[in-house]
Amino acid sequence: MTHPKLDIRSVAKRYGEAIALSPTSLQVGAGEFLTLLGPSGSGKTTLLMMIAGLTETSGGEILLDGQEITRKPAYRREIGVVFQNYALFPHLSVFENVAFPLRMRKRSESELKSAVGRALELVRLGHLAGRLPRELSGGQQQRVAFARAIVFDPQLVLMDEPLGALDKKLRDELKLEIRKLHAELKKTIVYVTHDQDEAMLLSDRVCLMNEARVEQIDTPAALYERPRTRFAAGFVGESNLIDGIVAGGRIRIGDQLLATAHGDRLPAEGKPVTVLIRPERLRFAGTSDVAQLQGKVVDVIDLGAVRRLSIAGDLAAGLTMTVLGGGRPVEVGSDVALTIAPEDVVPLTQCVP
Amino acid sequence: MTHPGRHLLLFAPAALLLGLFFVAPIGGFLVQGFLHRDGALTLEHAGRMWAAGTYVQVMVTTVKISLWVTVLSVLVGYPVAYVLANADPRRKSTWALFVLLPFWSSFLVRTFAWIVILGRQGPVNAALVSAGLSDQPLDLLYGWAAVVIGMTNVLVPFAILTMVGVMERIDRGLMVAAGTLGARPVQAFFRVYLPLSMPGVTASALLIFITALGFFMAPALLGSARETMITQLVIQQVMELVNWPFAAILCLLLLATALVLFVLFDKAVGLSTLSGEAGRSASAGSGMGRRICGTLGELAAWLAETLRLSPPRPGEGGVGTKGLAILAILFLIVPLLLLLPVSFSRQEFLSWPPAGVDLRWYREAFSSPVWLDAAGRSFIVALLTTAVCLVVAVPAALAFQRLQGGGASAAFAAMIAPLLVPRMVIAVALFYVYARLGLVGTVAGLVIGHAVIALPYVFIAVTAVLKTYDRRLDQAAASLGASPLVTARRVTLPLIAGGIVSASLFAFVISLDELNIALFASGGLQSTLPKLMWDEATLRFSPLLAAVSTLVLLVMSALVLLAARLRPAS
Repeated sequence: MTHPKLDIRSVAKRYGEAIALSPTSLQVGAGEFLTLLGPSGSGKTTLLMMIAGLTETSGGEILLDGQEITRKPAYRREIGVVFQNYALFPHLSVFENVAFPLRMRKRSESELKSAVGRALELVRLGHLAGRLPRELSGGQQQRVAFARAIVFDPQLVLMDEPLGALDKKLRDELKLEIRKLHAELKKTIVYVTHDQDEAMLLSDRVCLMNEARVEQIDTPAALYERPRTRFAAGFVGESNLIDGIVAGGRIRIGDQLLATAHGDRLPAEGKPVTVLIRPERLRFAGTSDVAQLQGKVVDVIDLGAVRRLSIAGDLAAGLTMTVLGGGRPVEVGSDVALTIAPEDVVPLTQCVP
Repeated sequence: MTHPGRHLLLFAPAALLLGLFFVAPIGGFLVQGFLHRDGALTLEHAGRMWAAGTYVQVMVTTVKISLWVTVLSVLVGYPVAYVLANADPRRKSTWALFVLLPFWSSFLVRTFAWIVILGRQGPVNAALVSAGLSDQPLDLLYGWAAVVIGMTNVLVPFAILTMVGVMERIDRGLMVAAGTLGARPVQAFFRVYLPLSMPGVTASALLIFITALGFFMAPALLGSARETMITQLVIQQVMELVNWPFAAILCLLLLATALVLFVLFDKAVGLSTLSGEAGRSASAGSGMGRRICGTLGELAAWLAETLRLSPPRPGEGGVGTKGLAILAILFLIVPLLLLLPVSFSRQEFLSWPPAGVDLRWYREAFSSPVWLDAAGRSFIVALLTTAVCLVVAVPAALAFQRLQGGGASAAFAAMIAPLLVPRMVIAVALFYVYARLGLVGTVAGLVIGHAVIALPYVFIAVTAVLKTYDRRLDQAAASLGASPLVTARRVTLPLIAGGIVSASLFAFVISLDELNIALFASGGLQSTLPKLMWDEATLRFSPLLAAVSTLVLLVMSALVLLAARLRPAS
């Protein structure tokens, strides 16, 4: 039987009374890009530090490639880590920083030279090998840190908010670069971030964390389309969450009945339920549309590419709707009729309204 | 914001003090070394010094002892500085207290303690004999080892405090990162931490070496004739032979040695490390040192592996490091504690073990008008010194903040210059001038001398505080309508008050413990406390000395604790 690359079994972390991570289990397949996504204090960095061997576990075990490594010191784990502030050695040149893990492994000088050369070419910094870290820009430092973490061909690469210290434009650029590098290198990567865009763009799967436990593990698309909890729905993307009652396979909200294509996610008849409607899935109703919601535009925010409307009406006091920008302007105070497809009405499965 | 002239005006008090009472006296005094009785230039004094041979020999001994003391101080101090820099905030204050107490306690007091400890009847000999390691008490005192131990004991706290500043700036994450890259803790230490802490090591080595060159207490009290150091000869030339030209030549020899070292240091690592900034040494170019450190790291890691030593956890010091640090702290503290039982002795002489418990020496100290008079004068001088230092250093530090580039380096070098000249040279030069100005035996003379010596410390302390101060707060105050004076009074000064307090403490304690100036400038009658203690030690050496030392220690400790209390939590 093939085992996952990284197997986390009921790993937990307590500091006295405080729980930093409830018992958590998680598998990461070989070559997979898994993101730990969550707000600060959700336990994502704690989990990452325990995988790296930099924080002791309070329970559970961690297996890398089928081998137990729970008590193994960090320096024997063969796991590359990219730190948030890069942690480049300020007294060593770019070349020596990248060569450091190879020197620790007593590689021959020729082997070392070619490996460092290859790693620096990969991140397109070959021409800066002789510089000191402080002579590089933030983005370049980040790339050196990445080269250093992969140069010794580790089993696993961990990245702790590696783009956190950079401005937005650079972040967008480096996101794409990390995505490309992952595709080229086929390394198993566990990536920590609180930025949902990063998680959506980079990950094969996203492990959403909240309040020291896992909220949901899914592909980015599934997490967006079918979140299970109120938190998941709210943290990833924008959302309208509306409370109702199950009535004959549909959802009763006030005196409206809303159809859903996800009947399997509904609780029993008469039970309360919360449904998610993404703002961009709402459409202005045409004359042929049957299910129509009446409302009045109370606010319009023009963001250029999209336009965000606040609508008061049948379903809820404030419904957010996004439409593409441009075209005919929408007047505040105008009456509108909206429609929503049944497949875009998503009941949350783990939620007491 | 762009009135360079006005900023330079802030340096005026410093320029006045250093110009009149540092540069001019030293220059005037040293020139004597090349003047004939009739005022013509001559090399006869220098020639006589070379020809005699003994003086050069004494200088060589001085350098040798100083080198040993430097190396030992850095070695003993390093683990303490490491633990202090990496401890969590709560434990840090405890460690800091154990370093600061000996740091602030009197040079004299600590040197006296070693006479008791290493004496034939002292606790070390007692332990050796009772443990059967020796048949009879050994002559530990009055030799090379005693001098080196005594001086090291006095200088280790300086080493610690100089190194800790640099170590605190080392990102702890780097050691963690080294771990994830496959470096064992020992390897990470030698390849990452040690190279990054080198600026602190070299800066403390320089300070200690220059201070050690000018020592005369330890060799005089703990050494024999063979351990005579150069400043002892200077004292002899001035006090006994009244041979100014020859004293000047000896001071030049001493000064030249110190300056050569200083220039070498500046070439190698840069002056800025003295103010605690990372120096130029942290460059990729220093391949040789890194290779040596790296090889050491491999060796140590291999040893640890073979001996199956458990590695320390990343971040904090391991058991071994802490053990070394605790030993070092004991080495610093125990001499101070030993004075206490001795001070209650009934005997006429300082000895071990003390006989009986009696307050007679405390009674004598408190009933002696000479001692009370000296204590009172010392406190007045210390208070005035503090005031003078603040008036001179605070404006200078404010102006220094606004300088950049070459101007800043020059200003910094000028402000800390007294630190780089052995105190004895300053003292003799001032004595030379005071004799002509009628300042010998006056409080003013003492205060001026002490202020020159304490100024660099106060300047560095105030600069350090200002560096952490956010200038935007001043700008905010200005934008809210506060004039520069109001801004200084209501925003800047309250925020830097804590730093000013510790800077004042520097001046106060340095003055309270300063012997060099008083040795000459007190003129015999207007004695200060350290001067009186020195006379007591060289003439009588009774438990009275231990009693006074204990009292001084208590006052200093109270001041340290008070300052720690006053400093706002940051």
